[in-house]
Amino acid sequence: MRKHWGLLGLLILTQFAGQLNALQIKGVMHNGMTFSGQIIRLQNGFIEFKGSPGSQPQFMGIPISQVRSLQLADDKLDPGLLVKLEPFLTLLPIFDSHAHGIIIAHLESMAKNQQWTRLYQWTGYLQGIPSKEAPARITTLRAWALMEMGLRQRAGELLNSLESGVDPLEASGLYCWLRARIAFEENLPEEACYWATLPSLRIPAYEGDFSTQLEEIRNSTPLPKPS
Amino acid sequence: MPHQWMSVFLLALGLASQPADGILPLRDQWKAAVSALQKNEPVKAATLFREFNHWYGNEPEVTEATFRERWHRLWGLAALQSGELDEGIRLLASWLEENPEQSRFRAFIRFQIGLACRSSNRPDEAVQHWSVFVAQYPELPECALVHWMWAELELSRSNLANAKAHMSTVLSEERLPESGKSLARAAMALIDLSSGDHESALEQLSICNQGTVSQIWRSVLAPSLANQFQTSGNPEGAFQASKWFSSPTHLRKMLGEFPGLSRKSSPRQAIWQNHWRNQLGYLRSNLENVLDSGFELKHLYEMRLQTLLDSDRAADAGLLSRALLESQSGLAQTLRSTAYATAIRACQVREQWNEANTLADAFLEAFPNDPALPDILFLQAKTAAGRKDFITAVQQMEKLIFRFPEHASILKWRIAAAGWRLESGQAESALDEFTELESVCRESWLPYLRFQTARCWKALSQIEKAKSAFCDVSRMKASPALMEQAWVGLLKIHLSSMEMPDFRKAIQDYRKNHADGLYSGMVNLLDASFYELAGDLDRATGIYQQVSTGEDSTADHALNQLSRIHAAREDYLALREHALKWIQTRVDRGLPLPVRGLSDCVLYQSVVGKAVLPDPLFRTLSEGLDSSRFKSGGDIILKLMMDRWEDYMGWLGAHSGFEVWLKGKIDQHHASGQWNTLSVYKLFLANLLEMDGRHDSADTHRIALLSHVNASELPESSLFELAVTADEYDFPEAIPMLETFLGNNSESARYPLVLMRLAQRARKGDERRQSLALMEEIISDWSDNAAFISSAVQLVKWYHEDGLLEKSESLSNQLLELGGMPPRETAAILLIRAKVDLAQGRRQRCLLSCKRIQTLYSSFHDIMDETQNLLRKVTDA
Repeated sequence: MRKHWGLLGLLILTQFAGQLNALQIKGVMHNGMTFSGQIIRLQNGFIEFKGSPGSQPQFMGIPISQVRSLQLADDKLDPGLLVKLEPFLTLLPIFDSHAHGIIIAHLESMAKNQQWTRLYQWTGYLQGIPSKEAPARITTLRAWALMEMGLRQRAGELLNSLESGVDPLEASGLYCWLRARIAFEENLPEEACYWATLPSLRIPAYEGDFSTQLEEIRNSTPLPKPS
Repeated sequence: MPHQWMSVFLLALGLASQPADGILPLRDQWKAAVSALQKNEPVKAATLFREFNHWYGNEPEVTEATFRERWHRLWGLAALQSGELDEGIRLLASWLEENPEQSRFRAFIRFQIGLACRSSNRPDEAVQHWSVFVAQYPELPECALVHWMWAELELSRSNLANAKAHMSTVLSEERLPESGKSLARAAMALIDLSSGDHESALEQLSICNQGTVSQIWRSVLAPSLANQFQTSGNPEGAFQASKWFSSPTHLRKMLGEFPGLSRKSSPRQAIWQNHWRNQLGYLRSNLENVLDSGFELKHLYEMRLQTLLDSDRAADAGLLSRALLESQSGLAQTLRSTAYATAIRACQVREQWNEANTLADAFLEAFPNDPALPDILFLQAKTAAGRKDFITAVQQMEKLIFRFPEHASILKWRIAAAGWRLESGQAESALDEFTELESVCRESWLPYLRFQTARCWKALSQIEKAKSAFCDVSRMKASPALMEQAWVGLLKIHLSSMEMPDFRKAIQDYRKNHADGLYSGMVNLLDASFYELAGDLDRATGIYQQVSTGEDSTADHALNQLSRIHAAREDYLALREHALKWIQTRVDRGLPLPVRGLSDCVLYQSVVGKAVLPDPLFRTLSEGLDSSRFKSGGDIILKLMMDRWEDYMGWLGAHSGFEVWLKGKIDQHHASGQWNTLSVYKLFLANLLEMDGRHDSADTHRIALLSHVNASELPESSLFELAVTADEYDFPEAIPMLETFLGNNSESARYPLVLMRLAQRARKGDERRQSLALMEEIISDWSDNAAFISSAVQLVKWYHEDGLLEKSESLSNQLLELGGMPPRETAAILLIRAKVDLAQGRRQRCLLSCKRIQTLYSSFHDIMDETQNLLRKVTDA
């Protein structure tokens, strides 16, 4: 009997935890109608979700083809967001740019926690999302993951693929640092110095997470002084 | 103390809530006035107090001293708060006079009166109250506010020294919060800017480095500060200020995130918050003014590029220019010509002449109608002048002046062209030009033109005229640097003609007029040369030693001169001491080893027959060899060891001969894979074998290094040696090594030799067009190099072989007009031109050339044979 009580308790707890972990979304359909609630699953081209009380029936299914865009209902940085998103990866392209921004912020914190393989995996999931700025950020993060996993050449190739789309006057601190680091390791001091110095020469001068690393490379690759 | 103040202020208002005992008929009116004041309705309170005065002001209970004190204090404060400043000031000033014993409220009341006086444009009264306040309450932090307001008042009256003194007092208040200190420093910087003390303004803003407020003030003030520094000739200051530049987008973002203030909670906090609010409001209006003024990011980038160049950061200027040239943004498009010009100037400063030329050519090809074209053409000529190709520089300037005769810079160009004409040996025409320019240029340029005229006279050996012109410059109102240069010119003339009394007098006059001058090192060198020529080598040596302690080029020159004197005097002890000190200093400073100093050591050892290097320095140098610490000089260190091996071997713990030790080192570094370190030893061994006539063995050692060394880290001479070996034996490393050499040593004198090898490789591979292009690069860019003539002769041959007869003839003519052509090359060129002449029907000149070869160059049998054959063809035809 004691065993049964334990099982019941566990069931209640997992139910509760399930509620806490549910992915809250809002969406707009091609006909302009909106919906919101917790996603339950994807099945046969339908998003099945539990509607918010008072707005929709309790359980609904909407054909994915009719959804114009999805938003994440909770803007806060939910540490479990990516885990919750994993069953719904096919929906990533129809999330809006704000949601993509939130997801990329999660990827950045993943990099801070040095979860390189997972970062590599996730940046793969996000390849090809329709957005103007996100692809460059995602590719740069992917190159970072490759670099940290010891695949410098592939990281370099990935960054080179971005080159035409990245304006050196606007390139992120991370992008400049990776380019500088790769050039430094490939014994191309002038190139390393260029990417390590450029952020500090732009207006306004870059002051961010990679300032120290850029300075280190800059100090290691001094260009010859005028005679 | 702050708690005490707070209670006093609360009391000042709080007392009003007590009933006015004994004056019941007045009670309602009094309570209403006090209540309105408590509810923060000052206008209503002031009106009620005024009515109270009107109706009950003369009642005996009201005129009673204790009540009257409270009543006038509250009425005065209500009047101030309601904006009736004159009434408030009058009431509170009389309150101060009537209540000298009320020490609890006096500070607060006096502060408020001072504030009100300032607001109602009664500055003298404000100053009077502030003087009393700071004298009576020096312990209160509010003294800082009083001094701050006072500083602002003095600033508005243009009493800048007083304003600065008051702000200094504010900054000395330790109780100010950090954000408040930032605002105070910014206020101080503004005073400094008004008084023209830009250095102090920069210092204040440099310390002011906390939070958004500092960031905004820096961004707002940086452009004008940088501009001031640029104008006043302080490039480092301009660079420091330019680091705070911000974009309009970023400034607008900062405006959107402007810091706010929390609500006041006590009268004392209200005083502070009102002050901060005013300061932030001032900052905000400054920021809005900057944004409204339509300032452009483009101008900031232009200023940034200029400050980088001016402050000896040419490499950084080059990097930023590259980014601007690679950027596709609209901003970069507007900065295109500036970026090209800066990149070219950065290359010039770094003596990267080929890159400078490539950039100029790229611009001229891509934007032939750009308004900046004349500037780029001028820079192109300047590049030629920078690499001492003055003939090309003058030709390019002549074209530029002919093409843009009305350009705003025409006089500047003419002056530059005349200067280069002088350098190219055309002193007479340069003199004519400078003389003409003296009549058309503005007065401030005359000293420079006179100086150049003096140089022309000197070049034309009109020494008296040159001396007179140099003397004129030294007496003219010129820049100190130019005046000093005139003195140097004069001293050089006196020195070359050994006019002893004149030289000594000129040097005394120079030192009197330019103590610690820019050219004092140079003048000291001339002084030393004077004594050296006069045979007083001890005095000369003393002066050279004094100059050699510096860190500039004159010090290097002095070191070389000392070396020369010691060697000439055969004073080998002094030579050794000098060389060792020189090497040790370079080692300590982490600079490249002095080749001359090392060579002196070799000389000492060969003459004196003793080891030159002391134990510690020897160890430093030999360890440096093993750790690749020295990029050059490794071969000379090994030679030193080899020459006195019996002395050094003990220090190294070696027990065998030098060559065995050398081979041991080679094996050691081979085993550890230290290829670049190994290359020093291996190439030394190769050269030993070479000298021994064992060329194959020498090349075997070189070839063994080819696939292992990191070419980009090798010293220039080693890389060249290996690249040539790879090329001669056609190893796959040849092309990468030759190209690495070109990439890393673009200014090396061996550069054209490498280009030649690449051209010959291209020719062998039947890439004729590429081979011609490479040779043409040598002809156009390396006319002053020893490889020029052989390359040109080769190119003339290739043009002929490829049927490019006109090109072949044109280049032949150019070469034959050159002075100093070696006989064999002259004969070869004459023969090819004769062949071209025959092909193009110029029979007469063909015959003349053949005769010339037969007469003058008969010793070159191969050429003679070909000439005979050609003559036969001509006769047959």
